[in-house]
Amino acid sequence: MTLTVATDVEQMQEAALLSAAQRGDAQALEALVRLHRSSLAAQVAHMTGDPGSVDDIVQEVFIAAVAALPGFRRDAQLGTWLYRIALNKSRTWWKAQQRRKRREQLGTAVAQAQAETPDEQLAHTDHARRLYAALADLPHRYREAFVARHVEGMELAQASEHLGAPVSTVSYRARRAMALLEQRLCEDDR
Amino acid sequence: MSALDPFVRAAREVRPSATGRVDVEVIARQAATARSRRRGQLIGGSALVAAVCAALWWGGEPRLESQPKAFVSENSPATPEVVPATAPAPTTQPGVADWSAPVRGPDVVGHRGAHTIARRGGAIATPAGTLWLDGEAEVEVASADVIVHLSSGVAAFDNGDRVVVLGHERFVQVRPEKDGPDEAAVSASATSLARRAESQLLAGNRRAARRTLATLVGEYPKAPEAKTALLDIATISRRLGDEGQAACALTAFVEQWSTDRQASAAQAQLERLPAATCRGLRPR
Repeated sequence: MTLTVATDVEQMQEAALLSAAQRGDAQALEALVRLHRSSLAAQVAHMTGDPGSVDDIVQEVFIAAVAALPGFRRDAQLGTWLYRIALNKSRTWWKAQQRRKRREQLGTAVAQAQAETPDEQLAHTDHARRLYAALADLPHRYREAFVARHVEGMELAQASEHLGAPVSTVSYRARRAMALLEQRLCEDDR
Repeated sequence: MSALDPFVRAAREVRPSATGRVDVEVIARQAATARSRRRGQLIGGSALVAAVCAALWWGGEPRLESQPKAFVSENSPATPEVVPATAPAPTTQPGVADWSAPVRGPDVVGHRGAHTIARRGGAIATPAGTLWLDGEAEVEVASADVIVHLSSGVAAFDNGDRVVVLGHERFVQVRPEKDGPDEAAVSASATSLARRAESQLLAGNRRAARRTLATLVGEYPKAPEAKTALLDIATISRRLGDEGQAACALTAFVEQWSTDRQASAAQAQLERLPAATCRGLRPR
């Protein structure tokens, strides 16, 4: 109950900030950016696996969002809307990565996973690098469904809302991505 | 337990390396640039569709299948009731538009930031002329342009420019007419003919409107109103089942306004119509 009340209050605060930002209030805009920056950065890090690109992508997401803010009709929650913009920006990033990869014949950027011991750190980093290298070869819809369901840990309904696709489609894409990734990563282990 | 679990766990641990470099001022500045660029791209971008829908709307006819639902409002009357422009005229000298003045008038129901919310079916005075509205509209007065953002419906300037916004998040930019005595005189006459045609369309008299528009095109072929008039003639003719005249109007448009942004769209429309040999705006 307390949690629900807190969430309601947060939503009311966000709605008030949003209205003010839509009227051109710079302070409200700053507050909204501050409110969503961390979660958005974490989501973008999960989408790309490249911590070094996160700030640039987050900046681009906010620029696109602020430019479209007067027309934002609140059909979705602001967080969901930002997530969708981040998906689009991440797609562009992946395309650029793939072009760069072809050009330079380099692997995807190495993700620095966090872990408690140096050994764990090494293993985590290696796993993350291999996973994102494999994700790079998946169609973006599969990649996004996999990240939303398994990395972000979203429920099917939530992932469906964030990705703008039916629940059954998201479920299928996530399962298909899992199968393709398992195949690819097991091949690497052999 | 899946073979992917360690990979998924590792992915979950990926964190942004640096946070806090997001600069709100830069975001606001670049967003403003992106907004103005997007508006610029939309100038005239869908004007043909807009003109077609405007004519259909004014004619009180069923709308195009491709028309978004947002255009058709349950509250919209079949023939929009046009309220005379009773808003005060701009107080600045002729030719010197006061763009900083707030948009006011009896049909203005409120302001939202730099935007003005106007009553459905109303009319408001702007430095570019009276703006006639159907559908709730937000009108932003900018440095030298009037930006119209309609949630749904139709708007028209009394200088003959038609503004139709299909659905939401569409912006149309209407520039005031250039100064100059000859151009102004031509424009005034062409404008009065365009207004007469508009009134006739509002009254449901499409044949008379088409005749008026044909007169406009014949007498003032170089006026900006003539360009819109050709498209309107095409639309009205199609609604009247006169595909020959529609083809002739579109042919004239493509020939006379070949460099216009709407020429390719007009050409595409023309290709969907039966071929016609024309004499002026009429088929032989």
